[in-house]
Amino acid sequence: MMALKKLRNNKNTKGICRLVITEEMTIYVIESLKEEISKVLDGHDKFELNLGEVEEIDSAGIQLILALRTELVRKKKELTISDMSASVTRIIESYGINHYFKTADAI
Amino acid sequence: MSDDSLQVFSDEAEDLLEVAEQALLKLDDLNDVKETVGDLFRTFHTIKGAAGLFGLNSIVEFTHIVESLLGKVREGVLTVDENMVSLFLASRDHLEKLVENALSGADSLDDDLKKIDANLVTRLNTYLGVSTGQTDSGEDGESNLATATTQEKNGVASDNWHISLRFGPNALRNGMDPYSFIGYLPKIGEVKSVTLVEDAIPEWCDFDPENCYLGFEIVLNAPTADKETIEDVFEFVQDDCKISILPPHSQIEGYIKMIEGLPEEDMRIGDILVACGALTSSEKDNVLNAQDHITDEVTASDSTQKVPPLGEVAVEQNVVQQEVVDAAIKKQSDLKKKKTNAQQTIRVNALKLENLVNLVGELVIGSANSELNARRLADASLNEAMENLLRLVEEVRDNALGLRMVQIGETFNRYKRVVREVSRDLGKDIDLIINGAETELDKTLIEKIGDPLMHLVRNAIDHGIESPEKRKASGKLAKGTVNLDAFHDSGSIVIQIKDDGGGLSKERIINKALAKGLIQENQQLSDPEIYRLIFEAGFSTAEKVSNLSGRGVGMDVVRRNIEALRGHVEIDSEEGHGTTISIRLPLTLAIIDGFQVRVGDAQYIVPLDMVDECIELNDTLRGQDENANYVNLRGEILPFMYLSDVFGSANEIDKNQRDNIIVVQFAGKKAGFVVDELLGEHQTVIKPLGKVFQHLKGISGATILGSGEVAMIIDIPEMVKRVEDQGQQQNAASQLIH
Repeated sequence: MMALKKLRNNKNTKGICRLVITEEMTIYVIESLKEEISKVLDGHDKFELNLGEVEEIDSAGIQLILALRTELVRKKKELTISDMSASVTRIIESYGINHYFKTADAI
Repeated sequence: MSDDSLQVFSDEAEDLLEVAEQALLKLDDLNDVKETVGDLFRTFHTIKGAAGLFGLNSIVEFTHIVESLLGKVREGVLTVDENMVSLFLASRDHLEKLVENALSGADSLDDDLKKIDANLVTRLNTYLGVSTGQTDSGEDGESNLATATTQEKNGVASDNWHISLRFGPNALRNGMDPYSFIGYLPKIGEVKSVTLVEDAIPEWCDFDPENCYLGFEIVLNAPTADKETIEDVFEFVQDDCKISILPPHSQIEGYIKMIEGLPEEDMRIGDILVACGALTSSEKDNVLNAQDHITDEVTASDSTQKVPPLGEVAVEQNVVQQEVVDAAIKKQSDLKKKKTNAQQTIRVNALKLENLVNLVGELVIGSANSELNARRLADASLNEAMENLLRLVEEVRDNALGLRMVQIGETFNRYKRVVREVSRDLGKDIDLIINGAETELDKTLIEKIGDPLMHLVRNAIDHGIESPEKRKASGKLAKGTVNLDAFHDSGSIVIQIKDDGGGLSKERIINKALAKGLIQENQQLSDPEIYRLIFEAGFSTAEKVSNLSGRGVGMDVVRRNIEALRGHVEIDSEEGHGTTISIRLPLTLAIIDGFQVRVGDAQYIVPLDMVDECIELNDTLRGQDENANYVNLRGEILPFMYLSDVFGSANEIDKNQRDNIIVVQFAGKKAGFVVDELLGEHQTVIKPLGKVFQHLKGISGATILGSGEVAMIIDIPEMVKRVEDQGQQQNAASQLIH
């Protein structure tokens, strides 16, 4: 199961659901990523997205993050991006959406 | 104003009016009228423009009103109905008269024209009035809009390009990642800002992560780039993405159009554009206000169909999108093509052509003479040169004759109008189906066949096709059909007028013919003979005389006109199922390929197209009966006659001499003629016989041979008929081979 590998779901303290996505966030795996995220979406109020280990990301990946963000805002839940790999930073900057996300300085 | 240029105007107007008529008739049977109306509008507009150029005010004024009404139809404010088409047709006819009037040099209209003019103007205005209330026309609305937009005609302050992208759902699946396109932009300029528009992303549960919902507003500073360069960047994604590219300092309207095309709410886009620096906030307000204004316009003009004036505005001001550019380019190249087409044809005075054909005729005779002399000299190289020359002369002849060939379609199309109007007058529903419109025919023939054809078409509508009630009662479709077909058939052209109406009643024809004394009481007649009676002078079977036909003067005139062209008419009919009238005409009136034969001392020409084969008349062929006037040709009965009997040439029948039969075919019938000698092919220039010989039967003309001798051209159709008659008289083998 590729998707599980990409998403490590650590239920850690303070009721925060930490989502760690690794390797890739591209159109090829995006469907299963969405499924994995959907599974944990209802159980928590706060989410932390760690993209520090994402090696490859494309517009589908960005779109998924945007969709997730919108969904959480709608449900009055919280989303923080704790880390971004260089490839994620690059695309987010060129899309002009860096200010969209609350970024936690580090863990 | 010189007459010459006026003539040019008149020629052009004539062409345009012809186009207009075709388009108008198309309106009738087409559901999708939009394009046709557009054509019509342009056509009338062109006439108006040309007339204005020549200061022909009466034409300009009248055309203007027609054009206004067409404009209304084009905008969708009015819908076309049958009466309107009739009105347009009448207007077209009136315009034709106006053009004629102008050409004749008259400064003003005479009373008749004035009356028609006033009448049509009133009718046209009724349509215009109904749709717009008191105010005159949509032009006021247009000018309002125009001023509204010209007020804001200044471009926006930004000196950057603005690119608006909305990707389609399949962009990602197709491997078209927006990132790669945006990532390329820095290569052509400085990307000032990218604003991602995520409004289209649906809620999480409906979100298909493989679909693309993204949109972008990009501000690009690229002073050196042109629109094409930027468009090229997005070339691959064109199918999967809505792209608008606005150049620096674009007109406000460009933005209006772009915003209109975007799925998001206008206010939201306005804010995005301000945010990304494409517009200042006052410019944004301008854009949105102007847009409201336009929307109001649209709703105010109580149209059922939404009028998109924005497109026109934008196009006028050179702020155009890719698709618009494409469409425009296509249109332009179409126009160019049309223009070159027009340049490929030259108008030539018919008289010059006639002279040319006559000269070619002389050339053919002259070369035949040279050939004869060359042969006598028996000089090999001279003969070879002669052969070459003859071949060229033949080609020149064919080409010269080809110049006079005209497609018959144009003539046929004229009858569409006749069918439409006459059938409406008579309360019938009739379709005219045209086949073989591209069949070519000598221009002189086409001109002369026009009236007889018209008469036959009218006859078919008036007497042939029954009323819808009657048709239904006899189990036919209420809609009648008249077919007009043209095709080539062994050296002649056949024009057929076929209707699916009631057909001819043999009984009625016979009764009538008896009453008129055209036939005797117990005369035996074959079907074709009975039908042919309707071509007799003073014959009309119609019980009711309408103002169209049935006066009994038509059909015999038709027959005489056709026979004057060396043509023939045949009728075939089945009572209750319809009538077919076939007209056979020679292909040309000037030069033909002939087959030269000798009978006695004289030489004759048989049109080569009609010659089927040549066979020797020997005893096996003749059979037992020496005096029979038919032979057994491979199991078929072939009636024949001695040409020497007909032309009375001195001939002592030489038993030892071999007799030849040339087998000719005309209108599906075969006949044989016995001649003394076969001389072979000959290019034949037809010289009409003088008035004295006009009533001579069996000869259709004469030609001059290379030797200077005169040879008669045999009128094959007439001779075939004669053989047939002779056969019936002798009551032997009365039926020709079919």
